[in-house]
This record gives sequence, structure tokens and C-alpha cells, in this order.
Amino acid sequence: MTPQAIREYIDNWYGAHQRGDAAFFARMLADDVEWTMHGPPQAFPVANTLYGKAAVLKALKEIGEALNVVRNVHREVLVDGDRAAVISDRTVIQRATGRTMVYRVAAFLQFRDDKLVSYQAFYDSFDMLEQAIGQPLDVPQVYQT
Amino acid sequence: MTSEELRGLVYRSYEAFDRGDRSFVIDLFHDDIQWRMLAPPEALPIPNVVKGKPQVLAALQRIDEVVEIVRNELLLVMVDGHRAAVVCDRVLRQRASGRVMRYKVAAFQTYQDGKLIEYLAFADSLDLLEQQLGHELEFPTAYT
Repeated sequence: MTPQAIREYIDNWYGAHQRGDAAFFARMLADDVEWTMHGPPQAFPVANTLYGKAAVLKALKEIGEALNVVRNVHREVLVDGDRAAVISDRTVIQRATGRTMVYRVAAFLQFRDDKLVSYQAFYDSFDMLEQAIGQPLDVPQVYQT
Repeated sequence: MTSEELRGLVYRSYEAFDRGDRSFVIDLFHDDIQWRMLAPPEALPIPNVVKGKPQVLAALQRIDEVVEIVRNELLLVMVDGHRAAVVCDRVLRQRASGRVMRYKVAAFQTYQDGKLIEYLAFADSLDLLEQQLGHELEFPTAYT
């Protein structure tokens, strides 16, 4: 894929994510896609690691059932060969509680034959958990600052 | 600087840091560097945001006082123009407790005139905090 094609892909991805376009993801995922979330399911409603198109599609559906993406803004998009790295500022509403959550996520994507073959995302999972449960966690200071 | 020159610089900077060549790292930083880490303040020995070269160098010194970097393996280096994105598999030893922590960190870097002017790091901050504390945290269930 050309860098421009990857950028367009990413633009389409996040638009599809916001409108819950399951057919788009069904077309774009490789059969052997690997999906990694660097954060626990308690903070974001998806398993840490998923393998295969069916598992990822199921997880995306479950995310959509738990969270309504109301805003997704790309802050940075890097494209290098068959890979992309994206920083997004995202606002979601937790459907069960109506709670609004705002977070920044860094996603790394790899493409093969015009399909997504690898996805891994990093985010401040502690902050996301506090937002998801609607209360701050009382934790000790580990180090003197 | 071309993308390939930047890629080489990124690799050399991590190699230099790993072998303790602090002068390389000092020369790499722009005077106006901004260093940010997305993690709870309780998990860090430095502020989440540090601005300015002397301040960032002092912050890295503070980190070195509390943790020892056992291993910092580059898993991925991406370059696009004057920006880089890196994923590392990092192992640290907490000096006070001897506790060993392992985590992956994603760092986004912006370069200006061949110097690092912005560094933004992401990690599984909940897991990192639990490893630093030496125990899991208890909290209510957010999703069923």
C-alpha cells in the first residue's frame, strides 16, 4: 500500500469506528489479524490479545455495545512502509452509565495486501479505569518526587 | 535530515542510552524539549510533563536514582519526516525494593534541527503501577 492509501485507510477506519460500520471492518481485517490492547479489560472492554478476524470482529461489536464513540480526532499520523502509528484523542460515552470518558490512545497498525494484519494500542489504563468506574483510585505514591 | 538519517539517529540514541553514554543523549535534546508520560503521578518519580533541557536531564537523573534499566529492547522503530514512533520492551529494577518490572512503552518523538524536541510516552499504566507496588489493586467492576 502507498503511504497515501494507508492514510486514507486510517481516515476511513476511524470514521467507520465512529459510525459503527461493521461491514468496513469485516472487509479490512486480515484473516490472521493480531490485536493487542496494552491495558486490562477492566479499563477498556476488550481482551488484551485477540487473534483472528472472527475474534476481532466480535470484540469490536462488544466495544460498540459498551461504548459510543462520539468524537475521534487524529493528533498524529505517522506512516512508514507498511505500518502506521496514530495518536487519537477520543471521547466515548459508556452506554450503561451515560458516563463520558476522554482519553488519548496510541495505535500501531501493520498492513499486508491492503488488509490490517496487526493492531496494538497503548493508553493510560489507570486513568481510563478511573473514568470507567467513575471514581478515583486511592493509591500510594510509589516514589518521592 | 532525511527519514533514514532520523531512523539511524533514533537507533543510535537508544544504543547510547543503553551503554550509558549520557553525553550523546544530552547533545540530542533540544533546549526547548518537552517530555510527557501518560501515567498516574503516583507511579512516576517525576512530573507527568517536564519542559526544558535542564529540567528533562534532571528528571532523567531522578529516574535513574530510583530505577535501574536492566533491558530496553527496541521492538519497533517507525519514522515519518521529522517524527519517530518507537515501541520498546523494557525491564527495570526498582533500586529500593529490588523489584523487577517489565512493560512495553510506546514513545512518540518529534525532532527539530536534528534534536529531540518532544517526547510522549504511553504504557499500560495500571499494570506498571501494580508492578511497582508489588500487588494488584482492588477496584469495582466497570464492565460485565
